[in-house]
Amino acid sequence: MAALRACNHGVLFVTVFWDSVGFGLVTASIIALASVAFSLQFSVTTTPNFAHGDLLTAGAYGALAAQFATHNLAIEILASLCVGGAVASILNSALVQPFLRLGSRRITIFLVTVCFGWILQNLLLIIYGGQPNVFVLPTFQLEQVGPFLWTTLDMAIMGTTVVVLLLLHVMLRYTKFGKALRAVSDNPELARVTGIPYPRVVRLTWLIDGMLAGFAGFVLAAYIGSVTPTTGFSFLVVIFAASVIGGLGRPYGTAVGALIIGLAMEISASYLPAEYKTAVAFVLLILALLVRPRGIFNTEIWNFAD
Amino acid sequence: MTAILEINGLSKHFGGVQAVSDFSLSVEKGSITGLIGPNGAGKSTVIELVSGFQKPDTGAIVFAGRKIQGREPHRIGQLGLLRTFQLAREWPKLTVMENMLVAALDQRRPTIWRALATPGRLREAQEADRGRAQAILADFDLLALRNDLAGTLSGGQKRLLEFARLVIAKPAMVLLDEPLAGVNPVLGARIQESIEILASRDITVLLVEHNLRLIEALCSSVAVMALGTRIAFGNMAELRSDTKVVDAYLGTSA
Amino acid sequence: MTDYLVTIATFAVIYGITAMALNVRWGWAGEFDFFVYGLLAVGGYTYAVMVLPPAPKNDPGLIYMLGLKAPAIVGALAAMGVTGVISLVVGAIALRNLRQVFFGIMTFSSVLIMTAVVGQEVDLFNGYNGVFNVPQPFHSSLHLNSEAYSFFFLGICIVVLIVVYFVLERIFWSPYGLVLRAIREDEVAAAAFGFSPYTSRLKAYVAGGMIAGLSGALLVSYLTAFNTDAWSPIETVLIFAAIIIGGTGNSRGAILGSFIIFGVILEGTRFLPALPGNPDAPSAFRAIAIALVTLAFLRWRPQGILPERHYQDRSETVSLPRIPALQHRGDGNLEG
Repeated sequence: MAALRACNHGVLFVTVFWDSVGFGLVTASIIALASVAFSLQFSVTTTPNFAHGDLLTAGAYGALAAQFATHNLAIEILASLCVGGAVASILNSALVQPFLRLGSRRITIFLVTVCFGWILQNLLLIIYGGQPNVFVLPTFQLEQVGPFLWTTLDMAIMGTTVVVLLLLHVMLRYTKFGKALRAVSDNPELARVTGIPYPRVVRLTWLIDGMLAGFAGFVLAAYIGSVTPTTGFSFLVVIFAASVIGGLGRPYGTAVGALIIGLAMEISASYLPAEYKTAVAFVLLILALLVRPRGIFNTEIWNFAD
Repeated sequence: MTAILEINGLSKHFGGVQAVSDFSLSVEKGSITGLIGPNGAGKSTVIELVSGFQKPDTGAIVFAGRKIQGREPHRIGQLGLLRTFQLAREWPKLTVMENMLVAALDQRRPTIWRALATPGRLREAQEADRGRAQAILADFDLLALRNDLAGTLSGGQKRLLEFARLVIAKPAMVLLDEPLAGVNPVLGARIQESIEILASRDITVLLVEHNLRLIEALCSSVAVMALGTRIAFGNMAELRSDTKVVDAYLGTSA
Repeated sequence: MTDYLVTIATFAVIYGITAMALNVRWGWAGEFDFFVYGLLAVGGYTYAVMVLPPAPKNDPGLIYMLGLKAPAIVGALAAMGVTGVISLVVGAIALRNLRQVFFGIMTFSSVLIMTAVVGQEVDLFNGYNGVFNVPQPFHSSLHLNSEAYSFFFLGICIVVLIVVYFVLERIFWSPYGLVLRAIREDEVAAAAFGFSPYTSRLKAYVAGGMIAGLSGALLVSYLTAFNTDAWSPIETVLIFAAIIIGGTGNSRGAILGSFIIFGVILEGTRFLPALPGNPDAPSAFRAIAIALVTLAFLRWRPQGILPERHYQDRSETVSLPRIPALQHRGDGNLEG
């Protein structure tokens, strides 16, 4: 009798485990979108952008605004891309570039991004207020896919993430811009000297970073169900964790880092109170900073054969 | 003739490159000893290893009777072995006088406890340091600039400030890493005088240089390095006729 | 009106102390540290925990921790002790390995996490409602009415500010202070001269942490309450703004910046309109105003209003003869 009960517990244990792995994959997808953007931008500019979380929030609110106008999902996504991209471009052109031209130290740029993020958050606070703004989405059902328990939203998120990451990979590997980006992140001086239009590459990188982050913000808000001016900001810990583990400025590593963090967060949520999920990410971040601040991948940034 | 610095069997590799391989050298106390060799011979790496900024793979370094290989740079500095860098490293947002005051400090003095508990004694010591600093700055023609931020000095003045800091620090020995690199001839003469000032104060000097004229002018003994190891040792006259040395330089004129 | 001014002044003074703490870490040691505000909170909580009496039996909603009912000084010392220890542990680990960007990431994330975690531990910290009814120093022994007491409390704060200021000034002008700034400028050269960057920075880190803890104790005893809403990293930015505007690397600048931020800007924009249905709007406007001013300073006067001070040697210099050039020693002998 006790054996049977133990068996049941064991089965439940395993089920719970696989469920959390499933959740972990979804979380990992959202994290991946946000942190790959961060790492990509950092790899080119080596500017730590503390307003990155607010880019997510901006994208989410862009989608929210679109939602008031139309209830078209595609337009909402488009809005998040546009707003995210626009905000990032403004940050770059209006603030980061002028300060870099002044020869400011990295710390100063850092502070500039903090101020910008702060302004952004408070602007949103003025326009939308501090209460959570609810996202209206079509209802989703729960489905059993193999050992995992997912809603159609979950699967959409994961699918979209895979597609986006693939698109990024194609861009980086095969397009002229992608190659230029890789060259710049490897060796900016050399890239400049060999005729690569450095300023244009930087501008486009920020734009892509913003669009990706905006989209990630939309996905995050859709997943949570609502958005506040600090949604993206609070997500920064998780983004940092994934980026540091994968390697700051290494998009591919960061994607793996996102997977690790997402899984760790959800699996731990089965055994710890759910509020501690972010704390788990934080602990991993600290461990990574202490043990291997350069990331778990000790190889070159771009793992290409060429 | 006692040796103040003894290096034995030093080696260091970076990645796949063996920068230093079984290098040995004995530096006599009170001497100005030269270390020369073609580019890539490993001279700067030796300086890095001796001063603690790199850790050797194998080998022993003994300074004033104490083993220093592998120790932290600041510990080695505390023992009285100081160095310069290929690019002059002043403290840019401190004034020239503040640069000197820092260099003058006995390393045990700067603690918060002493700052709070014995300010009077600290102030007296600082006054004494200030006096010495003025005298030394005068020697180096930097006295008029003493309240200027060190970062505003010209390149040559920064180099001289480096030497002034060494003088006030009263080390037992200094390692000079290519002090003439990128320096015009007028400044070169001043730097030669600066090294002579160091020697006159009983400071042993190990001078790494490409400029063989300076080496010849100052050094009683010279070690030659090539491909990471020592290939010759003696005075310049002897070295000139040593075929190994000539080969290593492949006919580079002195 | 006076009451209002006293309130602003008290905040400005308390945050002035916090700004001086941040200045020790950032202006002097060059460590970009978000965690100062976290230590402020820790100091405040420690103080509250030490100073509160045991929970009254008839009020099950409030759960206090220790109920020691200690006098204010003990509470303040405990606050400094706890923050000092935390700074020591964190600094010992972080200063060895992390620098700049990583350090910022770590301290930033720490504050975010602290907010989240503390919100969950209801028993310990009374959750998101915060700790309240903290007794104020000497309140019960001196029977002053509330207006007089607020002057008295402001007086205490000013005294603490002055003491901290003079202690920090003495440290600034001491050999230790000079070495710390040299390490900030070029730690490689400093190490070559025999100074350990790690040890000196750690000391500054701990000192800054203790002062932040002290200001936290003052803040909690002033507000008689503290909740996690006040623990957001955004508040940290205010302290940074204070130093940037007032003057980095400068205790007087820190105080000035604090007064500017909490006095002028916060109050000057108080007359902005509140949007109907949006109670957060005025404070959001103020925040934006501060951010813009900070950006302006970063752009046009990054050293702040009051620049860092230097040892000025104004003494009479005797005209000293240069040591004549020595003879060349081609043969290894010195000729004088």
